[in-house]
Amino acid sequence: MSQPLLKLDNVTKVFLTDEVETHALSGIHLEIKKGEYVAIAGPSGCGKSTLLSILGLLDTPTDGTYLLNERLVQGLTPAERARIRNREIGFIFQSFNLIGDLSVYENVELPLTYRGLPAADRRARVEEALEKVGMAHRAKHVPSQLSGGQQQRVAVARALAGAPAVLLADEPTGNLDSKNGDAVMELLQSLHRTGSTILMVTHDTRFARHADRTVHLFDGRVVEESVENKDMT
Amino acid sequence: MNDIRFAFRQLAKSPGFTVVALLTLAIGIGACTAIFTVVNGVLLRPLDFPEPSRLVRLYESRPPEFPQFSCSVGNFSDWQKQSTSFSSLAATYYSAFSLTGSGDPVRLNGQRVTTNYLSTLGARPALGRDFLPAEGAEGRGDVAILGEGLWSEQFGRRADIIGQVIHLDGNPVTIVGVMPWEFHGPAIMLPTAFTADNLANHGSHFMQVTGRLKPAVSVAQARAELAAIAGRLEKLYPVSNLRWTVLVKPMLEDMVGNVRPQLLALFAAVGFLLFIGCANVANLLLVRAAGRSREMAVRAAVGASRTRIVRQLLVENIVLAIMGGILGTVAAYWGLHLLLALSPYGVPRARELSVDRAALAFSFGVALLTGIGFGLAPAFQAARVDLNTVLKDAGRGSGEGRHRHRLRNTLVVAELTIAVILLVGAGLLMRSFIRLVRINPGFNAESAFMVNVTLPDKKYAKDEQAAGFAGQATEKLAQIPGVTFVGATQSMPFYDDYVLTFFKEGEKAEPGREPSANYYCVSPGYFKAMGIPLLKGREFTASDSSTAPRVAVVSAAMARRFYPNEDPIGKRINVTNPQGTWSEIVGVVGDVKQYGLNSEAPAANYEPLQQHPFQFLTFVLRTSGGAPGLSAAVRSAISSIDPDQPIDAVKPLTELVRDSVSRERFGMNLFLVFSGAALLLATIGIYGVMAYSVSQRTGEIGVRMALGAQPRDVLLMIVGQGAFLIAIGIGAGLVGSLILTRFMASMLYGVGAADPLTLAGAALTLALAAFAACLLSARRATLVQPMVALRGN
Ligand SMILES: Nc1ncnc2c1ncn2[C@@H]1O[C@H](COP(=O)(O)OP(=O)(O)O)[C@@H](O)[C@H]1O
Ligand SMILES: [Mg+2]
Repeated sequence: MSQPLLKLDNVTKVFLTDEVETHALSGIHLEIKKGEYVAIAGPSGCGKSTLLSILGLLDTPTDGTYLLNERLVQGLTPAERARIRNREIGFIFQSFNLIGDLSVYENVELPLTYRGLPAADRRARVEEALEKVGMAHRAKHVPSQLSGGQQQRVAVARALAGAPAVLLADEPTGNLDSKNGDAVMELLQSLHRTGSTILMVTHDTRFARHADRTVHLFDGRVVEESVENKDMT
Repeated sequence: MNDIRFAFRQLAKSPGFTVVALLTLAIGIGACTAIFTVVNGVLLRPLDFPEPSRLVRLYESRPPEFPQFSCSVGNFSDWQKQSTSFSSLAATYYSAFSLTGSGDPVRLNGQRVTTNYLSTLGARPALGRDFLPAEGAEGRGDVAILGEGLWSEQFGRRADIIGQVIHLDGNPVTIVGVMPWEFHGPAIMLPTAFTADNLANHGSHFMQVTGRLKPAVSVAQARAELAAIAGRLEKLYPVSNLRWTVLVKPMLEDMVGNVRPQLLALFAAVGFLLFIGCANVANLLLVRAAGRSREMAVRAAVGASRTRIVRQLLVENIVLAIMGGILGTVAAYWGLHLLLALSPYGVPRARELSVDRAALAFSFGVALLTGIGFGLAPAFQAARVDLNTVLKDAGRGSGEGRHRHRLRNTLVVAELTIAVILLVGAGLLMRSFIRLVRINPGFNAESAFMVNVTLPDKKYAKDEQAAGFAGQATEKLAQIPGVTFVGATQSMPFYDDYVLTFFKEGEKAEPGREPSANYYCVSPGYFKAMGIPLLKGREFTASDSSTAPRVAVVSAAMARRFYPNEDPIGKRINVTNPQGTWSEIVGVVGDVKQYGLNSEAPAANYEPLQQHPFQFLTFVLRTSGGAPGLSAAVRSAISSIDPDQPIDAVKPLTELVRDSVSRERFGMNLFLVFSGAALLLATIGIYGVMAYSVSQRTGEIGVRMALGAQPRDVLLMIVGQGAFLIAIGIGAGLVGSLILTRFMASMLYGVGAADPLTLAGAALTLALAAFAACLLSARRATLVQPMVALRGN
């Protein structure tokens, strides 16, 4: 069996605010293989976003180890972590997080700009990503001119453009109505079918069914792992 | 009441905003008030007399040599008799007295005045009484009015001084009054009595004439009348009055006329600084209003009326303004002290300066209005805002109205622009000042000292007596250890002047058009003591005595102007002095800038003091690098010759030179304070805008970092944003400077108003300060955690 793409070992996260300790995560073990589509489910406040932020190198665990692509990511400098985020990870946020002053095209181009790719390269990749999510015709628009569903599709294109190793999505449908939500879920599924590794946080078990398996969190602990009745290879 | 308590709570809740706002108000109000106080007290309000617009100064004039000159007794008396424009005309002239009777004799710089002098001005003694007309009768001169300074220093401010008898030049004089300190008059005034001889003399010009116009008479009318009188006098006294006319100048203009450009520049600077301060306050309030639009919407949502919300904001702004005003008052007092400390020799009347209440009220009022104005507009806007759009989660980076954003940027750019202009102004004055003090005055002021001695008329009435004193004194002074050369002169560069007409041998001058030159009677050691170089021929020696052939030395300018193509040595001139004898020119010396560093060296004639003795003398002592205890040594040397002879303080020549540029130094210091305050405020301003922008963009920055932006990328983004504003501000400031500093041209010496080095220096100074402020905000931006991208707003 091949090595997992992401591997968490006994990961703990404790927040300290006003001398109150919040144990957001306790003793998490998690392995995600290349090409997998994993859902993380659980009630609000159970630590889903915290788990995602650690996996996405937005935050560091208080304890435990994290191997990304067989590489230990503890003790990296902020600059190295930024580099890994830029190349290996694609984020999709609940509130889209498009930059209002930039056009759709520029939003998608942003991670490629930070990578220092030449303009021609960037253009090809941006166009391809926008094509994939069906937003190529809106390249010159600014986010405020788009509907929520369209904004989230642009955000998916932005996450895809850099061809990351894994897509991390935090409640991608949370700010969408059900019709738009379904469209985004379909988009993720089609990406999964073409080989993307996806980790999606959701509290909606209806959406969790799209994933290969679901990790259930409760109070910072993994309480259950369920595998969808699909073909497993 | 509730509103006020809440206002304090709100201000305490955002200490950053509060501190910056209060600092801005304090600097703005404080600096403007302090500077205005000085300008007003020193330059604008020199006349503390009733109906000052009726006061005029009269001068005699014979251009081009004597464009503005003192008046003669004969002419003054004729004006008094013939003119109808004045309710009174008074004359004064300088007179030194020696006060004896208690310890060392004291030399007093006094004035002889006509008995109507004080009443002409409308001034009254604080103690005792004014002179009586009878006290101006010939042969009197036995009463005196003291200046406040002398009363304090010599008489311990005793109230029973009135009626006491003191001894001036050995004569008993009764003190009849003491002037208040606001009068700023001489140490002592004695009534003058004109003799028949005096009254017949139309040619000796030595008096200052002050007049009070009759209520309905204009300056122009007085001018016309005096011109007619002068015309009549010219026909009557063709020798002494040929081509002499009368100048009538309003007293205020006479006193501050030549500082008008400086005044205008200072007022422009005050206005500019106040603008920067207000722009800062406005910006802070805009920022705060923008940051609180959500709070306002929530208040409106829970049922607060618009007036209720506006009132709340108003109370907050007023509380802020009042606190700022209090700090500003403290800053004004402190700033005034700073200004005075910066100009220890430059501020006349400094003693009476106290923070100008009107100025304080004005600055405070402007700040308050700005606070209300810029606080209310956003308040109304916020109160009217669509509740839904604010409460709904808006997209990243599109949080607030673009036009408010633009208004803030515009204000900051304007602040930077003005700060550049003020910095350029200060820079120009500084460069000009440095140039000025580097000018060679024509003598070497380093390690040289001067002391004035005025010999009393009676005791030294004969020329031999005065000449004897000068000779003995130079000898005694030369024996002081550390003194290398001693010279004596009757006229000292940078201190007083003495201009006389002269004749060149073999040339006939048209009467009334005789050439004139500065005239010095000096002892043999004078040139060495002063460090004036000998260019040609010889200096005076001890053998140029009263019995020896008359000789003269001329300055290089004199040689150039009057002997352009010939050697002046061996030529003869006749300076119109009582002896009226011909003197042979034996040497040429270097030029001396008699009237200050920023002046042309005039043509000068020197004659030996022994051949033309004077009763008022200045001794110049050159030392080998300072001389401790020089004052005491000089005093004892003089008193060993005449124990009753007082002397002035021993003064370094460097001080003389320094004092000559005190106005320039003062102007420069004021501008330095201005530009410093402007720099500080503009830097605070750009910091405020950048810091706010960073705080507004925290979410966006977090997203960028989540997408892999390096700290460097974030830093560059924020700095770039600031650099853009800075570049526009500085560009506009440089253009503005080129336009505005032209008006400063008359205040500058040896540096053009468009001096590239100054412009570059000002731009660089501001750029560095503003850039540092940007960098500080940008650094904060790089500390944003990428985590915020995952969290909602
Ligand atoms: N920066 C933080 N500081 C303090 N506590 C935090 C922080 N982030 C999250 N928490 C706490 O950790 C717990 C898990 O939060 P989160 O991961 O956001 O939950 P979920 O995404 O599952 O709703 C919550 O109790 C939350 O209050
Ligand atoms: Mg969450």
